[in-house]
Amino acid sequence: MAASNKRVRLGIIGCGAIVEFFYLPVASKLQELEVVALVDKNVDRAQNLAKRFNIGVHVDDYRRVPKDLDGVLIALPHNLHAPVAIEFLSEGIPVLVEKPLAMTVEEARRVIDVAHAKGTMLQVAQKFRFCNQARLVKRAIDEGWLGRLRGFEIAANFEDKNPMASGFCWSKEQAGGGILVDVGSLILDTLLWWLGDPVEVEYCDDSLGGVESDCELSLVLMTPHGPVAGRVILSRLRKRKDVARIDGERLSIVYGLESMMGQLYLLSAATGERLPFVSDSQTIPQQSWRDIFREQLRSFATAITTGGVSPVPGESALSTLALIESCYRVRRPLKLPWETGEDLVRAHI
Amino acid sequence: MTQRQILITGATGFIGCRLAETAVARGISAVCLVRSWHKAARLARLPVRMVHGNMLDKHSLREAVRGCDVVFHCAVDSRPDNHRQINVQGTANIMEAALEQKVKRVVYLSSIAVYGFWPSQLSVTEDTPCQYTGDPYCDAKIDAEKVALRYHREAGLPVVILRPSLVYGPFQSLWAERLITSIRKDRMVLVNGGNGICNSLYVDNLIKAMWLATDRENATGNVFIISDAQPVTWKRMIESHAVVLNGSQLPLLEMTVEEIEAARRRALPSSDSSFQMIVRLIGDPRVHQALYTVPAFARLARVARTIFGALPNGTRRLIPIAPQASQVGCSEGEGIQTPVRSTLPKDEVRFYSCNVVFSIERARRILGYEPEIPFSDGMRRTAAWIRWMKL
Repeated sequence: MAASNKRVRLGIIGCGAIVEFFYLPVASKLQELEVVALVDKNVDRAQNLAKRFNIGVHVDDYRRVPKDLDGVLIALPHNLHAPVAIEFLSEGIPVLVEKPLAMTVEEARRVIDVAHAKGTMLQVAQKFRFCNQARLVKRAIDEGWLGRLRGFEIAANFEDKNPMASGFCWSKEQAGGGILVDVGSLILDTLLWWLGDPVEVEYCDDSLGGVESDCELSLVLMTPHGPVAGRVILSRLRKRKDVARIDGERLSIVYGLESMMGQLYLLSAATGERLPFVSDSQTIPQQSWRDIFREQLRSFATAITTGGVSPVPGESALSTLALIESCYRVRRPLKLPWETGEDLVRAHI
Repeated sequence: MTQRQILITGATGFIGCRLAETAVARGISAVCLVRSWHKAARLARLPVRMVHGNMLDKHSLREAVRGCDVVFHCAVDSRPDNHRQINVQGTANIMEAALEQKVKRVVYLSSIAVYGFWPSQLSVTEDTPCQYTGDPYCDAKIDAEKVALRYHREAGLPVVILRPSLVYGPFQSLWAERLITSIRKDRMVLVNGGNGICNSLYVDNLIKAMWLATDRENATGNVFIISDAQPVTWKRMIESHAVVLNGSQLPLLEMTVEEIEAARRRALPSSDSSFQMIVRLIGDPRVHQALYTVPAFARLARVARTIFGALPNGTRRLIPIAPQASQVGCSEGEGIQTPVRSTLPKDEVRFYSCNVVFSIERARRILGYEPEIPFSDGMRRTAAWIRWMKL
């Protein structure tokens, strides 16, 4: 482990778009850590990024990274998260792994078990946990500002506008699923963190044998106030407004998800009046996506240098992974209102 | 013909993806050429094999064509500086790959744009001569057809060319969004009462024609216009979209071509500034295309587009790239404000007032094509999609 006055030496395994556009620009300006090695099977890509961000080592195999790393970030195709994490954890190297932690609950438990056995830190990149607005929603719910909870609705549209370095997320074998896994890992983690674990699940999506781009979940969550029903829509195709809304008997809280610094406001249940949302004594500090990544990396580096625990340990991912598994188990086809039924013979999956 | 495997270029697009859906429904194995991974969300719903590549990468084309019986060439690049390269050279590349692999049929998706956007004839058939208009897209389509037919004539490649008219339907985002936005912003005008003919074609009717083109022995070496059976006016098309918005914008403003021209004359300043003249000149497609042949201009334009595209939306709106209609659409002192939409660009006025009808007789006779889905049904499905999309 690094001494507290030393910068954490980080290796990054996998150099996709998220690393290029978020992790590297943020990490290159952090005092707490320095990226010392990049790994990508596309060695040209690793080399170009290493040159751009002034990183000394770039290799095409994660087994060839320097042995003196203080931690690694794993940002590989989903099916490689768990096996590669297990290898590093087994060597006592702390791991920050992109979501989802693993392809299944069982696989995730194996990763967590290795982390415990080796006494090595495992953190999952659940980014909304570092978002000020999302934290305030959590606080509002926990402290009962909304009154008794009555329902929730989340609509999240994630149209892919940025170039992707590879097409792994369109492969069921590599990604484990479609938008439910990719975006759902973030959104559902946040929802369960806010409200509680699911007790009833209904699910439908638009897959015709590939990975879904649009899905709808009807859930009953066990909150501290008892079971609460609500709906989640995740879409890569629709142009819905991204919003999360939690309804209580006294107030509703509405949170614009799209930029993580979207609007946050309250609605009076009695009058429907819109009320500005400020915390006890101050307004909510604005954050960009990169601010969130910065917070996340900083927390990982701090936990390494202080020997502390991660704010988002591996265990925190289990509920979401279990929910995703449940969804695929009870899956029904999503009704697309323009398809008449005769137009296409729907594949049975 | 029994197809074991097909290749679709342009498979992430509106038509290519629908074709892939029908291939899967028919139990036909589909290979899909994908240029940009981030555009493949809709396609990825299907159990198809995606091959990363592009129309100028001959290696990726050979890899994609391998083992395919039929190639559907739907790829098109609408970026101004890419028309010739992608649409003409790309077509030659895919024909070459198909020839090497001894593909049994190539269906090339051309367009009625080969006749220009506003043909002067009232009725157009496949025998009507194509017309170079200076528009890069239209001209490239003509040249790409020539390339495809040359491969048929000189190398015996079994090519069929389809010229679809205005294709609409679920996931035709560009067209539907443009219409919806114009209607919502009260910018839509029915030119000549909307009596122009829009020659609509519901996407599934086109897909049916594409499958027929793989089947008919005497189709090769032929060109076919594909359109819906009944001509639909622009009034009907546009009002059908307005109804989706709960009809709140109806009735739409109607103006004759003469009224629009008179309004334009009133609205435009008597003498243009040099800047406005330059902007208008660059906006002319012929000048535009000529400028793009100058490497320095093409590079500069690419850099400018990249910088502009990287700006946040809010900032982009604040930058006056060219004089906006709203800046010139209101002349003071005349008592009546000229509506912004009366400054509809001349090209659009011509397009919306065009009365040409495209004949599908040859497709009926040789392909056995008969459009099954009438406009009322096609529009009902499109409206359902627009509502679902929350456009």
